[in-house]
Amino acid sequence: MKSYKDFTITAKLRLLVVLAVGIALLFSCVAFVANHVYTIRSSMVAQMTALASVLGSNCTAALSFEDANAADEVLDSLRQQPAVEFACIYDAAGRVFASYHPAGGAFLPPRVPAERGHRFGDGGYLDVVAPIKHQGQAVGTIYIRTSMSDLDEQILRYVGIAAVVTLFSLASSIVLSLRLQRVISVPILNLAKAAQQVSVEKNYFLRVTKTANDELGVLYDQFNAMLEQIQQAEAAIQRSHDELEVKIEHRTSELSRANKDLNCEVSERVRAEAELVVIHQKLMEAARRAGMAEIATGILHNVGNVLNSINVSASLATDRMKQSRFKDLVRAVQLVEAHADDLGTYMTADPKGKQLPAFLALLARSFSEERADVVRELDLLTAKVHHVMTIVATQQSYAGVSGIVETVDIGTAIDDTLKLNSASLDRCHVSIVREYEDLPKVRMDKQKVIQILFNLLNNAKESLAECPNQQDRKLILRTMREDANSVSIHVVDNGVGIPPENITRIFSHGFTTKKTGHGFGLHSCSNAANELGGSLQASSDGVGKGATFVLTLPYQPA
Amino acid sequence: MLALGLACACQHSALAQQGTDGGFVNREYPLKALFLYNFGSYVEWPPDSFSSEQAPFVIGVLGSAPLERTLRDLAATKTIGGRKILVESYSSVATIKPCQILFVARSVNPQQQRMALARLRNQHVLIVGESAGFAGQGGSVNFFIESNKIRFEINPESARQQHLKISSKLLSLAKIVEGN
Repeated sequence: MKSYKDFTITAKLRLLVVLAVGIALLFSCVAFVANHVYTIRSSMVAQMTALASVLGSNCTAALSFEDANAADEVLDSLRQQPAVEFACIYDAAGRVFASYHPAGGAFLPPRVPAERGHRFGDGGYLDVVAPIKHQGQAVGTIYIRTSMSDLDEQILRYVGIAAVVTLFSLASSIVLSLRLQRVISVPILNLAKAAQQVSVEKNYFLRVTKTANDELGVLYDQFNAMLEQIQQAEAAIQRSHDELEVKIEHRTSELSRANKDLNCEVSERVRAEAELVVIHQKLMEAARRAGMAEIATGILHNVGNVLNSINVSASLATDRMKQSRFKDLVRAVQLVEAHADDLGTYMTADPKGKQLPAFLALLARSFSEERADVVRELDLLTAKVHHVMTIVATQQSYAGVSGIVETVDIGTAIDDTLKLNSASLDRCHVSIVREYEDLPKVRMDKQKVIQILFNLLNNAKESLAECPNQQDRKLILRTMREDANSVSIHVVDNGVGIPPENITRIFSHGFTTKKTGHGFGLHSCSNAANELGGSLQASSDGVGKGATFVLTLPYQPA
Repeated sequence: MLALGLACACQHSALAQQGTDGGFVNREYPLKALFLYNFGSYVEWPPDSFSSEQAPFVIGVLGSAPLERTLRDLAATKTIGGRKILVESYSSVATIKPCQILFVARSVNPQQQRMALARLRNQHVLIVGESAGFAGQGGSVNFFIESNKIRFEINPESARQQHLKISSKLLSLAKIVEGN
């Protein structure tokens, strides 16, 4: 069973028309018949009431003068009203005065009704009861009963007419709707067909031709406009699709080219990487060599410095020995040998012999002094040689050999360093000022500290040596506790100082202001200080105002 | 036959009616009295027939007839045209006073009747008689008995001379006569 919604538009329209016409006709027929019935009944009531009134009025004289025949004559006029079943006139006392009964036969006039007015009886009749008045006085009553069978017949006739009209109208409405619905359904069906065709064939070039300028015409136009838009969109899509394909092709070729390039690049990269490995190895090698060179430079530098001192000491010893009064001793010995026979006489009689013991004693004293000097110088020489050995050992620690950590008294370490430099410091007439705080011994790599200090002292000495005034050359060595975990050694000179622009560069490798410098000393000192876990800082108030180097070392209680 | 009998039984017997005591009562004069009263509402008198607004409607009876009692009963309860009814008896023509209806009894001799008619000519008086030929002699209305029923004849010309308008309804019940 299809629901009403699934009917075709044709069927819907037909049903719509038939239903509308049918319902309208039904209502109008019912209303028509009902109105007719009501009108007929009302008019009947009016007619019979008027008739009763007229008849009653015509009977007043008959009643007044008791002329029943006259009343009968009046009632006889009812013969023109075939629907009247009977009529009665009663006098003022309610007695039957005259009666009318056209059907004939036995007729017993009813009693005078108590109610006035009209009443529809169940048997299909209308009773009208009206008073008869003469000059305001009731002189009697008239009672007329009218059959309603005519009305029933009329109603039946009307219903029949209505039914026939309804059927005819329905039939003609169906026939008309069959023709007229096409005005609506055919364009819709055409549109539906066209839409279906479009959706099946995907043919957006299709257009519908409108037949009227009503809403369907608008629909057609809209449909066409929609197809137009779809067509355009389709074209645009096709266009962009084509463009896209071109682009894809282009991109693909580009990609393949790029891929090719990439492959080349990759092989190049592999080659480059291989080269890089080689370069890296070379660099490593170079770095190692540079490190070795640095180590060598460090060794050479430090050893050079110490060799300077060794040279000085050796020169001093040599000079001492050259200045020795050894010839005097030889001459004295020759004198003794020449006077070996008469040595006693010679020593007691000869004026020269007499001076010989004293001369020998002088020589002995002189030799003793010489010996002490030479021994001291040789000791220093030994110490410096030892330091050279230490330097070599220390430089080995650069190459991974760790230094020897010992318990050190910082003041002793400074003094040891001073001893190493004492000859050159003395030669430069530098006055040393020691300001040592009473510090506990610490554990550290002593040789490294000494190396740093040796460099710092050497630098200070060279700085002071450039000062023209020999009297004021002063070197202050100061130790102090920085905090719970660090101690510091200050090397303060009043030499040529450092220009501010160089302060930040003095620790760089290769930076130097000396004619014979390598730019390595302070750099290696800074490195060494870092290796010790401390730091090396420099400050200067400017050229000619001296410099202060502070070596900060971690305090590790012994 | 039964129906017809019943219908006849129900018809008013004009002159004889079964009384409460079972005997028949002569209703001639009561009916005539009633008719006289009823004439008051089917006849129109000119306005100057009455001396004043409050003047009574006078019904006069000339001669002797047994209807005065009925008339007085009616006068006691009814009015004509809003006026009280006054019943007067005149023993002779000379004693007739102005009235609206004058009933001339059969007992009055014809000469007297003519005198009365002559005296009241053009007097706005409805003159009712009960003697044969009364209407033809100038009376307006005259009672007669036909089929045992009281009927009346009317001389419209005479009524017009008296300046009276008689209702067509009354005329339709009456036998119309013309003057001699």
